[in-house]
Amino acid sequence: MPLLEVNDLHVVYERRSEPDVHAVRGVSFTVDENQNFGLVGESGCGKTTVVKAILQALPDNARITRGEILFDGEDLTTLPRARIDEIRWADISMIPQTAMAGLNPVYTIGRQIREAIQTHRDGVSKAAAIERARELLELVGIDPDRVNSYPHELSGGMRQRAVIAMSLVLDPRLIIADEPTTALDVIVQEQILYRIGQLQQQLGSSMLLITHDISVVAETCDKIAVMYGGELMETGSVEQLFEDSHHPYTLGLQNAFPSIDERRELVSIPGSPPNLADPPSGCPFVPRCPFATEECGEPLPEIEVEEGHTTWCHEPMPFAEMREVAGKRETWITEVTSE
Amino acid sequence: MTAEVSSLDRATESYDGPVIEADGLTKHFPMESGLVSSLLGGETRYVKAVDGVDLHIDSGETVGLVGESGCGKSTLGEVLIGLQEPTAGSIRFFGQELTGDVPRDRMRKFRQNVQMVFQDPYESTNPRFTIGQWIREPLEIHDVPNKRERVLTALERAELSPGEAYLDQYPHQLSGGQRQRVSIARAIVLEPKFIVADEPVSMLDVSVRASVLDTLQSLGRELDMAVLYISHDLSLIKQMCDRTMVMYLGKVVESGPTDDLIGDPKHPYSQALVDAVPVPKAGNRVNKPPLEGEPPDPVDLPEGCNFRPRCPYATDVCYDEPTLDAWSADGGARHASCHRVGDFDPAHIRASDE
Repeated sequence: MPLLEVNDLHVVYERRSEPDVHAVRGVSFTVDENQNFGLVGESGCGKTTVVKAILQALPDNARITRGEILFDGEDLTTLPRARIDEIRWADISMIPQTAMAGLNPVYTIGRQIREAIQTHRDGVSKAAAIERARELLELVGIDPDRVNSYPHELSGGMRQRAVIAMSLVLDPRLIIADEPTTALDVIVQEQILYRIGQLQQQLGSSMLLITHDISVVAETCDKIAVMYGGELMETGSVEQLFEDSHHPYTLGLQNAFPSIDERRELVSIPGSPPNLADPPSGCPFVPRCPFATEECGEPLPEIEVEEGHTTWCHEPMPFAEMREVAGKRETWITEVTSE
Repeated sequence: MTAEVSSLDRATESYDGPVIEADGLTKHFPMESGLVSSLLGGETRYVKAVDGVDLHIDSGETVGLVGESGCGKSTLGEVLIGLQEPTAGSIRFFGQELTGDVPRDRMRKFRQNVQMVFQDPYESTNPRFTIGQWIREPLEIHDVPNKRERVLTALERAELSPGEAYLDQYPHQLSGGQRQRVSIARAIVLEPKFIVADEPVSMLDVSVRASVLDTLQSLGRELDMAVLYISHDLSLIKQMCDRTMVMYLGKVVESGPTDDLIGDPKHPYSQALVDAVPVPKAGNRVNKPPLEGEPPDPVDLPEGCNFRPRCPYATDVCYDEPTLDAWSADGGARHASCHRVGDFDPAHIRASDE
């Protein structure tokens, strides 16, 4: 049984005087024990909404209209609040994008970690909890004496590390990290990603990483799902998606992403994402896709390429050929209205 | 004074040196000291944001300035285009001195010929101005003729085409990529000789970054501008820049042709920076970083080499402050401010990881 199973998830944001926004439409994926899963997409693709749905932390005007989210067999969408609160922290923990969002400015780091432990674990003494806090800080590469520091006394990188320490406090089985290093410099990013990886190995926990950065995913994840316009476009292993992609959007993202390894022509994807207040009935990528044909206006088929590799595409051109021409700039300029 | 009016024009015609040059450029910010300590006569301390930088950029050349947040790269950009007064050092524009007692007309000409493209396309446009008004404003400030024609040319050059379609639009009607193109159009409408672009695409979605960068790059060549491209992202610098300078704690620690510097960095800090950049390919896993911790505050700088306390190769010789030409190669095209280049093998630090 997978640790996390999202099945046919639909999330709608209701708006008073405007049409509802269909932010997530039929998303399904699984995260196994001991697996690093990357959910990749650009702003507005719905990836953060998926995370909020998993954590049952959607805003009041959002509704899950269909689907289920099974964590270890329990459907998070139907569980009572009290059970959800137990699962969050103890089994699923969250590393937010901005460290300050995860820290209380008026308490010391040590006190915040200690309280997290004492709230969720009965019978842990104050001294034992503080000892654990020191241990965790050391694990993430912070001087244990920093337990007495306030968040503002730490640098940005240290705060982010402190948040990671807090998120690990109860040995969670699933860590959800939403752009955990986006605000950080590359050297600190490397330090933190390396630490997270090490800690995960020690704890045997899984990670769901949400990011726009395909290079971070390539270096940290086992499996990837690419999201666009509220839907999944392609899922597979890092090798399958980077070396044998079967989707024009995945190919487009790769072409647009610079690499320090080589100087090559970067090719943008023209146009902008669909308006999810009026979502298309067919493939959401159609207006920007250089390969789209009339058939692409039909609902997306799910194609299993091989074991573990799935694409949602009408295959308007054989995929092998598509990979060939997708790297060329001319492909993306023709017949698409400029951005 | 009247002779000064056209001196820049004359200078640019016969001049074939760098567009912009700086020597020993320094910007120190005094720190707010508390009331008590100032009453007690406490010494004012300084943040050494830029601490003795030499540089030059030729026309048509794009130079990358890379470093982590707080290294002083944005301050350096602002000092170079006159948004900040330098504490010390010299800046020359087409060979003419811009610091000290500068004739007003020379300064005016300079301002007309330098521009900046900022990071945030949402904050660097004015929501109450139409695109046309916004791009036209610099022309009015400098009282340049043929305004409408120039605005349209700038829009087309920034690849907002046809330009007429954008004139009466407001920023909120445009996407992030289009807004950044508007910023570019405004920056080039006076056909400046020198542009500083400070993280111009970091707020944009990946899929539109490439085309905005492309526009900047080709404009640099087409208009023969000197471009200083400031970024924390070496992957983008690799695509954009002819030469690159690496900055650490207010100083340039390495400079050279981009491909050489990234392919074979010499300064231990540049090595760590290059090493840390993730690669969008299968088969690269995040590895143990060669550096721990973060740069110290640029207030209490270490004795000798700034990088010494974090440097895995530091020895006693590093208590002596190295200059940028402590190491140089390729006939002076490459420089690194490190005494120990060649004495250490970056591979062995990796090997001793586990």
